[in-house]
Formats: sequence, C-alpha cells, structure tokens
Amino acid sequence: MKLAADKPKQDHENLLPLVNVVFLLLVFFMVTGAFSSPEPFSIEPVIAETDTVAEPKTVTIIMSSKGEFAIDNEIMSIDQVIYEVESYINNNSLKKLQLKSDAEAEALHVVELLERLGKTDIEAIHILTSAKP
Amino acid sequence: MQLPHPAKKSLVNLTPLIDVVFILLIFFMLVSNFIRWHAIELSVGETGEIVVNPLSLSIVTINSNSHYLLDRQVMSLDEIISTLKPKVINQPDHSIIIQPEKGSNVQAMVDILKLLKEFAGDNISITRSSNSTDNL
Repeated sequence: MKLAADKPKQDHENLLPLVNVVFLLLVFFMVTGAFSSPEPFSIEPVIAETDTVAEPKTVTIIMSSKGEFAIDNEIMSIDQVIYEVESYINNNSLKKLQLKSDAEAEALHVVELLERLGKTDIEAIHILTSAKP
Repeated sequence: MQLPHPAKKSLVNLTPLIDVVFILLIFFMLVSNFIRWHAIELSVGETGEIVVNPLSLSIVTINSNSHYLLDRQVMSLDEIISTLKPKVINQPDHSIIIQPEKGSNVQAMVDILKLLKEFAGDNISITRSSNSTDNL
C-alpha cells in the first residue's frame, strides 16, 4: 500500500520562529537602548564607576582627544564655550554642567576649562565617565 | 453525498511585515546607545590665590607619563591613598591639590580624583602646576 507523503509545510510557517526572534530583538532594543544624537567627534569615554549617574538633560560640553570643544554638536573654541555657558546661565539660571571628555585628552585642557568656568556663575561640573568597557 | 469542504485557512502574507520589522530592528540597533554614563562632581569655585596652611596641604602631581607624585615623590595610587587617608581623617580641613602636568591625560586625572573623592570630599582642587602655565 502506498502511503501518502506528508504535506510539505508552507514557507510562511518556517518563517515564524525567525519573526519571533526578530520581534524579541526589536522590543529589546526599543526598551533598553537610549537615543543619542551623533557626536561631532568620536569620544573614548573615561573609565570610572561612581555612584552618581549623569543627568540626561543637562548642558554637556564635549571635549575631543585633541582638545576641541563642542556643545549641541557644534564645534567651537573655548571662548565660544564660555559665551554659550554664560547665555545658558542668563536664560535658564544654569548652575551645573556636564563635561564628556575623551580619556586620552590632555588633562590641562580640562584645567583650563575649569579656570574659565570659575569666572562664571557655574557652581559645579560633572565629569562624565563610563563603567568598565 | 457531498462532504463539506474543510474551512480554508486565511493566510496573511508575512513578507511585508518581516521587512518592516527588520528595518525597525536595524534602525534601533544603529541609534541605540548602551553606555551608562556616571559622573564625578567637581565644585567650580572662584579662581585665584588660595591661602592654606602648608602643613595641611598635599599636592598630587601627574607627570607627562601619567605617573603620580605626592609632594614630589613618585608613588603608586595605592600608596598615595594610604598616605593621604589618615591625614584627611585626622585633619578634616586637609586640602589636596591635583596638578596635572603637560602630557598627562584625563583618564589619569579622573583615576586619582575618584579615589580621593571617596574620603576627601570637596577638599580637592585641580590647578595647573607652576611649570605648565605656558599655553597648550
């Protein structure tokens, strides 16, 4: 007696596990990932784990390994940085700033920035670090 | 006798759905940032001359090779911490000045700053050393 061969599975049935996995990945990236705008230069973060977590909506000065500065993706000189900071202070009564510096940047650039900020009404600066890479 | 036809499965074409989901997945993979940023707070005071008792002042210098010197003596991070910690505990107004020299990097400065912050709090200042007053 000739038995009937099993009906071949339809193509879309084979795709279902793939779709499931892709959906899970999508949900994972949507939930855990934070949107970030691209930065004007690539930054190798300073590695240090602290108890303080960065505040996401604070004005952040970005400093490259060559000592270039940027605020809101706009590359600028240190004089312009101070000008921008002073306008933030006047408009939003800003008291705290964040500095995202490249780990290999010259420390004296940070010192120079601190000296210049000391002449403004800024009270504190947060140096942003990343936990272990 | 005519048997009833089995109900035909209503098939939804999954291909456009998979396309869209893949595009969304690639989008989220590209724009998501998983770096969790921490922060070290530094008070930004008025710049100028600081008058402190030399006996209650320690100067940590970071040289161009990112080596640490406590009061001009080369030390490891652990040695600096074990030397300074009792001083700060016995003398709460003991000030620590970090002086990075030309060529030292931010990572070296943050490494010592983080360790000193744990026990010295706000008694830490960062200044430039007298031999690095020239422009960068």
